[in-house]
Amino acid sequence: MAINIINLFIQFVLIILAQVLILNNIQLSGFINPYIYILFIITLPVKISRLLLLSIAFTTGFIIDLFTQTPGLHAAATVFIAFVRPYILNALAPRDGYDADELPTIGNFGLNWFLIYCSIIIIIHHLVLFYLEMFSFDQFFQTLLRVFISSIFTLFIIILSEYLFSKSISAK
Amino acid sequence: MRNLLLLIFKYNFVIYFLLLEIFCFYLIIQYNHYQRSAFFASSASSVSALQGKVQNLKEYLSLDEKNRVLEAENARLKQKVLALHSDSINTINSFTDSSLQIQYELLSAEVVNNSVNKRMNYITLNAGYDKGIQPDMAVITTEGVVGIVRNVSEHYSLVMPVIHKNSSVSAALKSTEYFGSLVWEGTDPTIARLKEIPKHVKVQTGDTITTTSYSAIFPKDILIGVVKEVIDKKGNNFLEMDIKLAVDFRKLTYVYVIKNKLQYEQLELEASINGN
Repeated sequence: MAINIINLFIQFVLIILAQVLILNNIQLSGFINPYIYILFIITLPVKISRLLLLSIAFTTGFIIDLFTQTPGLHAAATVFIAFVRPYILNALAPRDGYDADELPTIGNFGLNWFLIYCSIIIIIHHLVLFYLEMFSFDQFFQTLLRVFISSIFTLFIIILSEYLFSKSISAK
Repeated sequence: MRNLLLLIFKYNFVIYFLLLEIFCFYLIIQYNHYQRSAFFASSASSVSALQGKVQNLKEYLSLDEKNRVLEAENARLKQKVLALHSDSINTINSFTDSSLQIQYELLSAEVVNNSVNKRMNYITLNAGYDKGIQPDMAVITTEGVVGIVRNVSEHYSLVMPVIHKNSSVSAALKSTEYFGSLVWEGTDPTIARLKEIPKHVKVQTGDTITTTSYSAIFPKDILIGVVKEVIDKKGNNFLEMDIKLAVDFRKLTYVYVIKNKLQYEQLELEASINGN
């Protein structure tokens, strides 16, 4: 259990550094804004305490906010997906329910399941994030376009990093 | 009482979520109206060290191009010095030039943070009150207009560039002296939109757009961009045109902050009319 926490912490630091040092500085276009730090929230254990989940999400979002100088924006979006995550996991539960301490990764549940689970969370997060950033319905469809294009890129990068860094996937 | 506690305990997840979310909204709303500078000051001090290191690396990669720009600027300035030397007899002609030099003071600063892909992009400079920067100073580069200083802390300052939802710069067609407002539509960081030019004005693509002397912030005749496309909106007495910005906001490294020594006087005079 102690090893788990240290692992989680290292993962946390690495993902945040990757986000702020690399991805925030790559500016391909006004519409492409991948935010992969939500990978950390996505891959927390399935049966983690809900209050703990919310707190971790808030901390993660707030740290990202510090680096992008947008207080509360990423925190609000990340807390929101931490709130809906248990309900989504319940809806997508395999027939026998989840085992304790399981991680929702490709290795444990397969690519299809992970794709569905991931896309739902990413789209909800980006919807909240980009519309909160606008704070008005001014450019409704441009923001919608931004949400979808960024979600695609985030999904792509997250799936890629899952395959690259997750040891639980057997040679596929 | 006990029932209330049981209720809170049963729904603790939703309640805790609502508390956190409301706190986040509070932060967002506060940021947009008041405490922007307070949050900026704390975040600048804690993350700026990391940003500084990243900036060092990025700078190293663009040294080549910067050298070329600096060499060109050196040549231009040397030319000016030579011209001034040979012009020393015509001191009366250069009267307005030298008074301009006394009125405007240039401070150079380095960009440590930048963004071009958001609706509200901000630029962070590594110079603040310690270097003499105040809010509402103009920021330019050798290429053209960058933006206006918004918030200043002891060692850093925050600039609102032209590519910002709320930015509005007074801009004029260099050839005709007709002026309008330059705003940013939010899609392309290389294009801004000039509005409020009367319809009868003959505008062609390629016309230069510069700052006017009406602004208390910008000196006049600083390049903003060139006209890319004129948009004729039916039913409107004004033209709108897309301006290709002269400054490449994706490649900002060094900027000049302009201090207008007569700014306070001009603004006070203009405001005194409103008071009456």
